[in-house]
Amino acid sequence: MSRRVVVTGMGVVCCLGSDQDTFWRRLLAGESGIGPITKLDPTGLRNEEAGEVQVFDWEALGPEGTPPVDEATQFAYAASAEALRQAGMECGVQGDASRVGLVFSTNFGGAASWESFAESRLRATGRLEVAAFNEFRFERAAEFVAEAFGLRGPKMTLSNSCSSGASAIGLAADLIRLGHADLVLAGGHDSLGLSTLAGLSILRTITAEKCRPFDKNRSGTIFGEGAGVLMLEAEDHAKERAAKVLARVLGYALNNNAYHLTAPDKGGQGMVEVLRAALVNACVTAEQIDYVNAHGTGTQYHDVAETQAIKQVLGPRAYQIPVSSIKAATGHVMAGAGSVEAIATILAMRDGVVPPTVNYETPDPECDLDYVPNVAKSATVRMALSISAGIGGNNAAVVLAAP
Amino acid sequence: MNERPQIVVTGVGPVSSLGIGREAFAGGLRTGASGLQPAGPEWGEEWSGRPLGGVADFDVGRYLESEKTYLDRASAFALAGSKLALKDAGLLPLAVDPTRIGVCLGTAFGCLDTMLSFLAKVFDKGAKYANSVLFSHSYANSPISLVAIEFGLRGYHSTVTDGVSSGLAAIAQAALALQTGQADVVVAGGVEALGHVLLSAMREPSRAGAPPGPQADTQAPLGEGAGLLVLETSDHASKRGAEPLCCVAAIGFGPHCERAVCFRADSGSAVTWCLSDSIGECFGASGALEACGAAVCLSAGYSPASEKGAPRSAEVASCRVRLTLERCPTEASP
Repeated sequence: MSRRVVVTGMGVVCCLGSDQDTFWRRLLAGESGIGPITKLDPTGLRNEEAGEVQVFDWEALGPEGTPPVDEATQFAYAASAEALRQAGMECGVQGDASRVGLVFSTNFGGAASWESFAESRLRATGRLEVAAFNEFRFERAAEFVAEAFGLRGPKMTLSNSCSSGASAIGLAADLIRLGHADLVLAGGHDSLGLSTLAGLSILRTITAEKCRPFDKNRSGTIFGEGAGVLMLEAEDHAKERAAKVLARVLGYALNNNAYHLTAPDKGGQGMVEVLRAALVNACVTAEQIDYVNAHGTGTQYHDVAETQAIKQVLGPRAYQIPVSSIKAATGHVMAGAGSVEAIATILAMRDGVVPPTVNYETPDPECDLDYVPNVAKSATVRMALSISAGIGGNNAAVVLAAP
Repeated sequence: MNERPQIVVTGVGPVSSLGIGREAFAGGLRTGASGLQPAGPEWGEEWSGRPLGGVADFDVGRYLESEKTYLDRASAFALAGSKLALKDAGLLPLAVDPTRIGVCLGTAFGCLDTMLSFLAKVFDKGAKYANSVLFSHSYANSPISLVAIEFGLRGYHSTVTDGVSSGLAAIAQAALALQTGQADVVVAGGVEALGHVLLSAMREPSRAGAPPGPQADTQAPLGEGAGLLVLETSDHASKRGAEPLCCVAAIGFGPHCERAVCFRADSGSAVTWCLSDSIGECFGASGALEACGAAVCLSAGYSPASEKGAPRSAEVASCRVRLTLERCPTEASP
């Protein structure tokens, strides 16, 4: 018998704020945290703006001693700490620590540390920054957080490009469902670096102007950084310790278009399949979905393909519910996107209000759903679908429900 | 609720210094050969002459339908290992529902040399002249994406980047996907490629006042390769007439355990086997290559660490992941 999975804590770090409340307040106010890139020289990039984390004090948010870990690790730690606090575990886990695990995900690991090591490697002389290589490792954040909070259960790091955050939630849910853990911290983290921005820029996924998901004049996305971490817990375990349940994780699906590394598959069949598979995994029907938190990057092809997939899978229901993308507000948080967006979805369920798709000005006849343009909207959301897709052709969808 | 599906291993695709493909790899295991060779001068002064488990004479073209513009060595290993595993499992040409066959791949470091080549161009010429091909091949999930594309695998899909446990953890994730009904078949395992970036990073960590240098005397020899297994529900395997090598008896997670492979005989006696003695530390590929070796030995009825009797089971452990494989029950067994 599979155990049911709930969410008992959440933590967010992104350009809108480094805590859940600030993030949500600004998101609902229709604000965007995207602004000029300040942490590196943006010369030659397609856009000199990004969703940089603005307010983040590692000395205050990090553990004692302020260890010199990479920024990406810092984001993951801070979001984890907030999630643990909300779950009532800020002083450490009670009970058997081998039943508490983590599933993190990252596209680039410690990006700044990698660049520091790479620079030293490319120089003909001078010391090789081997310590920086250590801080770059993809699994470093999970290792650091596990050690800091004494989590001795399953520990995994995934790297599924922009489906990473969602895939971490899915795998964490499976670990609990199948009895391998009682609690699992799950989510994605990434920080912006020159390598990342230069690469995403040259792939022309980045717009030269504003990110406008689903808008007729959309021309690409803008990237951001940060982390979203959720505390997933077995429902029976949460009941036993009288933990406040924020949401239920009903199911998920992962797949790949098997078409091309960067070009989208014709007809968007891969996304249709992942949405169908997620509903099956969650044992829910299209009619039960009250809100879709879309991947909605703001690229010409993707937004219409995603719209078509939503319509194909949800049928008439697609026209009855709000479908919004928060990427114009947070930036595309890369590995963090799926988990930050899952958190926004859960907050929407809690407060009965869905966040808007900002920068929306001109409707596109090919994208004809209710994208909640610019202003947050009241809505009763009992069940929601959160969608992600990434470079390499992968897709992910998570089905969440109110407690 | 239905019982969870039983999982079997129906094919293996090892790519290692011990041999490429099931037969060559098994031959190396049986004879107790070593794949370690003294590193040539191309690896630089610090490594020249030291034992390395490099995969020699590797031509990825043998495993692909068409020539590729560019491939990182890790991606090349992933493609070769996946092809060998799928072929060994009798799954090529693909005659199963492509949305029900997935891939789970582990790698500790991904495509480091491509990452460095990409960044070198950015440092040299500026972001405007970055190379899009190099960037798209530099992701840790570039190898898995290329595998899915090459073989049309549209199902469950995930890359694990968990250091030395990566390959074994990917196999465990594949098992979870099969147990929860999210796939019927998953090609699962790990890859790791030796390259200049990795070798330079594996020097002794710089300490204040001490010059950098290789961890020569304390560092185990390094190696590379890919270990891919085809995991399948036993129902699906039996319906298509596939003969399993062994069964997946259990997967386990946390707490930390030593890296080891332990073969147990029917009598209960146990022997420990260390594949890295023969092929070097292969990071994300190591646990998966050990799993390939264990599957081959269970199927063939011998233990590489002992002459005495056919093993009944093999437990492969790496940090916080454990995989237990068992000999398939025969008609005569209770």
